[in-house]
Amino acid sequence: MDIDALWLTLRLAALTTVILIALAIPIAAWLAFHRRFYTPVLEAIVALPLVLPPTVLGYYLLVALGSQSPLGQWWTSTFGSPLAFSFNGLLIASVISSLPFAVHPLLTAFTSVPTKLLQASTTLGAGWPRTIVKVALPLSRSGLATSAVLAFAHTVGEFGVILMVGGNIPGQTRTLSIDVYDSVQAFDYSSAASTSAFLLVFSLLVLTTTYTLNYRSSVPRQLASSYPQPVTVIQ
Amino acid sequence: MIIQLHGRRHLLDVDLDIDIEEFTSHVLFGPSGSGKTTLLRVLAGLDPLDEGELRVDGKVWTQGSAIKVPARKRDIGLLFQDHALFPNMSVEENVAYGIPRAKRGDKRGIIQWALTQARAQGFTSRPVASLSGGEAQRIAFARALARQPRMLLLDEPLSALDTPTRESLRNDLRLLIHTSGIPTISVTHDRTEALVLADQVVVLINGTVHQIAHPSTVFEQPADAQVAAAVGVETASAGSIVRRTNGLAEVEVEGARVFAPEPSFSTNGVLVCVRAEDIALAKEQSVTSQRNQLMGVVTRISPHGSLMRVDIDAGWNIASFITRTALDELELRQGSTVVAAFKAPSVHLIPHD
Amino acid sequence: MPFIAALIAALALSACSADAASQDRVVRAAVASDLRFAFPEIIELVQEEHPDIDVRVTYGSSGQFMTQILNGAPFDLYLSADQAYPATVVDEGLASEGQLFRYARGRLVVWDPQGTLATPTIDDARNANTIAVANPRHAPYGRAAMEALISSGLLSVLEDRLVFGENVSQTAEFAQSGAADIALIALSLVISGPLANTGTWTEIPQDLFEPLDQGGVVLDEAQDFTAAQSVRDVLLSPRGQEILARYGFED
Repeated sequence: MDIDALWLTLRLAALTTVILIALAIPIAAWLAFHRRFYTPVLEAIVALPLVLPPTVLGYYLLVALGSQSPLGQWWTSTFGSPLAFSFNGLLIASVISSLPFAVHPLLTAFTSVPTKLLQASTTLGAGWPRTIVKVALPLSRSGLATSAVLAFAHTVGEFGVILMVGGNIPGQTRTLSIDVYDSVQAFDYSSAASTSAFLLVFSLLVLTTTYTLNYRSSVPRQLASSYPQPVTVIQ
Repeated sequence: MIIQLHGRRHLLDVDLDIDIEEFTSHVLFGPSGSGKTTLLRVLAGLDPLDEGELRVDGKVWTQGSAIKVPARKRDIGLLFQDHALFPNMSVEENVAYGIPRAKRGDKRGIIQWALTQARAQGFTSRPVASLSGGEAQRIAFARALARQPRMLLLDEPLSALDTPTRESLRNDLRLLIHTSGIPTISVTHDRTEALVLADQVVVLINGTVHQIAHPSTVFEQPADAQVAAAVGVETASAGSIVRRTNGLAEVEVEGARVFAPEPSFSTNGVLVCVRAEDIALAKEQSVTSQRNQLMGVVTRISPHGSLMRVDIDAGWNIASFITRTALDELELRQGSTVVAAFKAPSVHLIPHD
Repeated sequence: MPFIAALIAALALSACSADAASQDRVVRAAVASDLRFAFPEIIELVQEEHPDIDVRVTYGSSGQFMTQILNGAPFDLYLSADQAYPATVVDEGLASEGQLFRYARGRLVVWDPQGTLATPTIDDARNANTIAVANPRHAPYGRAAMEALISSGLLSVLEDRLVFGENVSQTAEFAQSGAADIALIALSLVISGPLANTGTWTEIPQDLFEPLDQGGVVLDEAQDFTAAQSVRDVLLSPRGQEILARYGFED
């Protein structure tokens, strides 16, 4: 197995996860606690990478990040190196394509926090940032962990978008999944086999962890069910 | 604090002007589905109005569907039906949660003060999940108090508790409200709770305010037939005033004559209301101060808490509560003849067409 | 959240290692797939002559590399399977004309991975159910293969039986895995390396297609321009050319 590719993949997945969690908390909170008539549109946009072909996502990202685009030009003039086919470009692509995996478990966890507790928090003078940090998040611990694990795992497993936006540059954009593809093309089946086996075991571990976490959900069910109340809470 | 609520939300449609500092403890009383909880949530800022506005001390808090002053800035303490304590925090963290930033320096002191006020010092070290309903409700009260809010709102604070806990906490709650000195509005559909807690009762039926008065006034002189039904006046029959003399009104009800204090209104169609507690039973008519003595036949005998309810057909239906001992002494059973006796002042007349 | 803590620790570690790796003179090379087996030997030669140079290679189709380079992909040295793509890179202002070079001429073969035919010829394609060819839109070997099919008058007959690989080595992979019966690929992939003893092949006469003269260019934006030139010089040196000759390239 290619150690550079492993290291790159772990670095990419770790950074993507940290960025995604930071983004997913406010996004999921907004979707869960601030429901308006347009909320389904926002939910659909967040879920889009789930159903969109990776090539479509890859194409738009390439157009947006490439050296011909305003963003690409600005990045190149500011940081001195282009965004497309670079680690940072890959990071942006990973964050976007793994977004639904980070937002959805957290959104589900947030919506099962009893409304009454959120209302208690507001009447006790807390604004919504404090309510989320002190009440909603601690009661959504397993959802948060699931978000982090899935975001990490999906980034490790992402292929199409990475190939399109990242190319296949060793040490910069050649992740493990690309490495498997490359090994197969080079007729290096032993390397492809070991990397594939690693990814298989890794994915199995991740999913087992996720299901275990879901099983031990930290929100007390009877609290959640005994108080059916309107959803709109935080003003 | 002057509350002026003129507006609608769902079934609620009220014009309410009260100064909640005039009496410490207001009780919003009414049957289930009368809109009491909605009214409380509008006051708390958790629900908007469909139409109209809420002003407090002249300042607009809610205008139609726009909540102008959000819940967190209303400086209120809200107690939910079942405590709503944060399960992820300790008892002390719960109590400390609402202490305003400016007062956090004295956090320890405030927590202790609030717990003492709520008589909840004994179980602060236990996890929230292990508290009994009554204990949790005391902590929740302490949490609301720790903010030292301008107004307390209690939403059916005892209804989630079992009967013995409810009865013991009921009297305590009155004491807690009065020692705190914070103007309080409680919501309840329970008559006893209203009688115990209230200095002033606001009767809400089908979304509208029917009466605002001292609890004894509401229970003894309900403003109209709906209030009478809501407060549970057991006997209420239609009749008409046939004579008014010396401050007394003589009313004909289904052939019988009943004396009542002369009402201030001039219409003669009335509803005659008598509470079952005020009706005594006797074997035969006698000379007493009880001006009304009506002969009737027992139609039904049923238990009513520790008392017995006796329904009598005296041309109109009269209900009486008597003790089991009295029932045995009178040797009453279904079909027995009996005299229902009550004083004229126990009769309350409500205009009725 | 132990998981998050572990992630942050991993990041902190990775930041250190990224610094350590940047000591070498790195040359990032985009190399046409027909060189997939030959180029590793060139890299060994580079390491022998310039131990401080670290060559990092990406193999792919020449046309895809051109698109990536025009979109800002960070390559230092570009080895194409034709001369037109490197010239386009120069035209687009990403390399100077003086940096263009020609390094070999490629040869095209008909490859029967099963070895059922002793000397497979382009006409044997008539009997194949599936014929693998590199994508002519961006792979020069694919373009050459299509030209050969047209010159032999076979394209109209075989059009429905063609499958296209993303690049010439994926095309070989299609046939090797059994997904295609025969493949039209680079001689350099079957004459030596992992596929040397697999199946049978015959060269397609060079007059059936435009010659596969292969060129490259050192890019202006190269991180270490002289290191990239050193790699090019090794490739063009007698010892480099000797390696290419062993893999069936003509000069």
